[in-house]
Amino acid sequence: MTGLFASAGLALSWGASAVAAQERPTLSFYGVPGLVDMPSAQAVPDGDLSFTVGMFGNALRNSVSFQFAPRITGVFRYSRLGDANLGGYEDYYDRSFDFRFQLLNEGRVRPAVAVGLQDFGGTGLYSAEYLTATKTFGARFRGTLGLGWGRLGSFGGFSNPLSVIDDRFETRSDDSTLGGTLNAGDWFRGDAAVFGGLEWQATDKLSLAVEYSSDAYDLEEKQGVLTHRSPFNFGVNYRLRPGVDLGAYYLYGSEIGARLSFTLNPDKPPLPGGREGAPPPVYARPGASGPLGWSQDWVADPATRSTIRSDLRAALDALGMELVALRLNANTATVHLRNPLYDAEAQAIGRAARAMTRVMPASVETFVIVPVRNGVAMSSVTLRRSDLERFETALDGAGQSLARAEIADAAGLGFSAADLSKGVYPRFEYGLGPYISPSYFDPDSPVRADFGAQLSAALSPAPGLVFAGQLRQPIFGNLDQSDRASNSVLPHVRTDIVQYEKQSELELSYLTAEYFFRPGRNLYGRVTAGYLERMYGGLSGEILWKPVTGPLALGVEVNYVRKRDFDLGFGFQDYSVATGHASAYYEFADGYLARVDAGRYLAGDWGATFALDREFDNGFRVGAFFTLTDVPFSEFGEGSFDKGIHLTIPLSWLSGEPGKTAFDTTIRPITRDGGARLNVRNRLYETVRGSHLPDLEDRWGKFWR
Amino acid sequence: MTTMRFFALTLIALTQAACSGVGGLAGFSGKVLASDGPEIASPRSRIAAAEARNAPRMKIIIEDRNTEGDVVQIARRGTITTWLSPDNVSLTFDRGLLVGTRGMGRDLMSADVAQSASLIAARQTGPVTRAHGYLDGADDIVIHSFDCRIERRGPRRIDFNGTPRDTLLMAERCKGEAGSFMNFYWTSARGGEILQSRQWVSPEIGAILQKHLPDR
Repeated sequence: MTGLFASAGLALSWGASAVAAQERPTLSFYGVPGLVDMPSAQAVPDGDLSFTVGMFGNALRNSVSFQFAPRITGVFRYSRLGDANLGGYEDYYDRSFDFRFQLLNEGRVRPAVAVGLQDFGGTGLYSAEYLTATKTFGARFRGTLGLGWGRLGSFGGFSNPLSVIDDRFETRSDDSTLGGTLNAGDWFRGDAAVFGGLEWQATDKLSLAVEYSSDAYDLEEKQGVLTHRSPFNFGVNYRLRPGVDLGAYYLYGSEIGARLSFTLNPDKPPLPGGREGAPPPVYARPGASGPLGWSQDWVADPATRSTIRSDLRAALDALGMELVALRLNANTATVHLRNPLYDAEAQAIGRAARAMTRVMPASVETFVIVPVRNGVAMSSVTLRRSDLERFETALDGAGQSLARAEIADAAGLGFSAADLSKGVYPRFEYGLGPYISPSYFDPDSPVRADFGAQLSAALSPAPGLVFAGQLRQPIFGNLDQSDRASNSVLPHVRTDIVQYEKQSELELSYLTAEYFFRPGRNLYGRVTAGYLERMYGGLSGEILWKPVTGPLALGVEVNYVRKRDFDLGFGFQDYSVATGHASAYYEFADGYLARVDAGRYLAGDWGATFALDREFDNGFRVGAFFTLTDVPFSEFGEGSFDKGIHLTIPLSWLSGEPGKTAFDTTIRPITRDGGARLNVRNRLYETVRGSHLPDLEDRWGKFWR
Repeated sequence: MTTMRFFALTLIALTQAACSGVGGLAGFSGKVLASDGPEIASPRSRIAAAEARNAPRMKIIIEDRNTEGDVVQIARRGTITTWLSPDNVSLTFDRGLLVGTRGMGRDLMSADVAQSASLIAARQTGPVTRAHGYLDGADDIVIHSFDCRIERRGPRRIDFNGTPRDTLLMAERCKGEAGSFMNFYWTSARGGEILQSRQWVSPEIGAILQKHLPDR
C-alpha cells in the first residue's frame, strides 16, 4: 500500500488562499495604496496585512500596514536615511505611525476618497496629511488626484485653502519633538499642494504608473542625500504571485528605486481546514437495546470500569491528549481533559467525544467534557451521545451539535482522588532547544540578536501546582555589544537591558512555583512566586472573573517584586516595588478585543494601558496599545509615553497543523521606564478564554474535524 | 519553494525563538515520571485490527494527484461506513455515497446526498439537489449546494477484481457555485449496491475513484 493522500495537500492549497487578490491595490513606497511616492484612495480588503520594503537613493522604508477595519488602516514604519547626518547620527533611523480613513468607496460615478495622517506621532520626519481621490476608467486606467499638507505640501505649495476657516491653518511649526506625542496641532496646517497620477493596468500582472509628486524632499536636499530635479516619478509594478508585488521606479529625475510588498489576509490561511490526520469516527454502540433500555450490568463490575478507563486513556493519548480524570456512572461519563495539542478547543472536544463513543458502554448517553489547563477546570461541555450519532454526517452537523451542546462553568465538577487517571501526577516535562532573542531599533544597529540553547523543565506534583524553570545559554550574537547607556531619569526598570545582556552569561530566565485554583463560580486564581521574569522576582497574585458564556472579564493582579541582578543569577538589586492592575476585557462579537489595565507600574507610576486588538477566529491577531501614566512626557524621554503594536500568528495558521505555538511579538518604537509592566507568565485571561464563549463557538466548525 | 512557504518557514524559525510560554520548546522534549500509557493506536495498528476481523477493503485513487492506495473499513453504523488509510486519511460513505473525508487537505466536511442516494438506489433518472460542507479559514462550515441530474446510463460490463461483472451505470451531473462535476456509480445488476464509483470531493482535491476489493 502506498501513502495515500495526506501529504499532497500542501501544494494544492497554497494557491487557493489568494482568491480575488487582483483587487488588491498597488502600494507606494510608504506601504499604503499609492502610485509611486504619492498615496491613492483605493480601498484595501478588510484584514489585509502588508509588509513593504522600499528603497531609493539613500532612503529605506520598511512598513507594516494593517486594514484594522473596512475603512481604517494603521501603518507602522521603520525607515533609514543613510548619510543624512541628522540628530547626531550619520544614518538616521525613524519610526512612524500612519492612520488612514476611507471616506468613500468607489462607485459607478463617484471616486474612492481617503484621508490620511502620515507620521502623526513620530519625530515628524515624514509628517504629512493628505486627502486623495481615485477613480477607475474602463478596465485598465486609474487616475488619482490629491491635496497634501506638511511634507506632501512642500512642492508647488500654495496658501492653505483651509485658512478660510481659520488663519492659523496658514502656518505649520517645524519643531522637532521628543516624538511620540500627537502633533495634532499641526495637522492640515501650512502650505498645501496638489499631487496626482495615472496608473495603467497593462496586463493582469503588470501595471505602469506616472505621478506628479508634491514632496520637495527639502530635508534630503539640505543634507545632500537626494537631488530633486523633477516632480515626475515613473513606476512599474509586477505581481509575482497573488500577494507578492515587485516594483521598479525612476524618481525625482535622479534616483532609481525598488519595492517589494508581501500581503496576506488572516482570514485566508494557506490551508483552511488544516492538514492533520483523520479523527476517529462515531462508533456504533455495542450490543442491542433491550426492553428496559441498555444494559447497566457493567456499572458494578470493577474490571469493566478499569478497562474503560485504560481504553479511554489510550484513545485520547493517540489523539495527542491526556485523560486527567474520569467519573463514570450508568448514564454519564465526565472526562477531565488536558489538551496540549489542538489550538481550536472545539476540535479537542469533538475528538475526545468520538473517542468516548468507542470506549463507553451503550448505556452512557451523556458525555461531559471538561477542558483542564494548569490543573484547573476551565468550562464544561455536555454532549448527548445520540446527538453525536445523529449529526456526524449531517450537512450542518457543526451548527446542530453546537446548538445542542451545553456549555457551562465547571466550578462544581470536582473529582475524587480515585477518579484521577493513573500517572497524570506527578508530571515532569522538559525541553531542550535553540532560541533566538531579537532586539530592534537600536540606532547603532537596528536589528540585534542572540542565538543560543535553552533548557526548560516543569514539575507538577498535584493539580494546579507547577514548579517550572528555564535556563538560557547564549552561543553567539551581538546583544551584549550595544553601548546604549540608559539616560532615564526614572528608576531604570526596563532601560538597563544592555547591562543585563553584557553582564549575564548562563541566565536563569525564570524559576517559579505557581498555583492555579478556582476560588468560586466564574472565578479563577493564580499565585506565582520566584524569579518571575528576566528582570524581576517576587510574588504575584491574580484573580479573574470570567463567566463562561459572557464577553466581559474583570481581573485584579497584585505583585511585589524586586529587580534582579544583572548577571541573571539568583541575586537581587535593591530596587523593589509594589505593582498591580485592575483589568477589564471585552470581546466584541465581530472580532475586536478591547482591554484596559489601570494601576501602578514598575517605576511606581500610576496610569492605565489601553489596548485594542483585531482578532480572527483562527487565532491571528493584530493590535495596538498605549499607556499613559503620571510620568510627564519630558521625564519619560524619547517617545513621550509607552506604546506599540502587537502581532500574533499561530503556527497552525501557517502550517495547517494543529498546535498551540504562536509567533507572538510586541513591537515598541522605544522601550523606556514609564508605563512598564511586569511580564509574569500564565496570566489568567489568555489561559481561560480559549475554553469559553465566544472563542469556543467561533471555532466550532472544527468540532467534526 | 513557494513564497508563502518560505515566509512560513522563516516565521517558524523566529517563533522557536521569539515566543514565550508554550512555544519556547523546540528541539527535543519529553515526559518522564508519569507512566507511559498502552501502545498508541496508530492508523496502522487500527487497520491491522480491522484486517484481523476481515473487515471490507477498497481501493481509492485520487485522480488529480495520481495517487492510489487501499483503505479498510474501521467503523459501520447503520448505513454509514468509515474507511481509513495507513497515512491516516479517512473517508465516510452513506449508502455508498461519499459524505466526508478527513486528512486530505481540503476536506469534504459533510454532505447531504439523500436525494441522490434514493434515485441511484431506485435506478431512476431525475433532478436532485445535493449540498457539501467545507471548512473556511475562520473555522466556519461553508455550505455549497449543487443542482444535479441523475441519469441511467445503461448496462456496463466491468472487470471487477479479475472477474467480469454486469453493472448498471448511473451518472450524476452537478452544477453549483463551487464548481461543476460528474459522479459515476457502477451498481451491481442484481443487488443494486455500488461496486465502484467516481465521486467528487472538492475543487482542490478533485474526484476520487473507489472500488471494493474482494474479501480475503
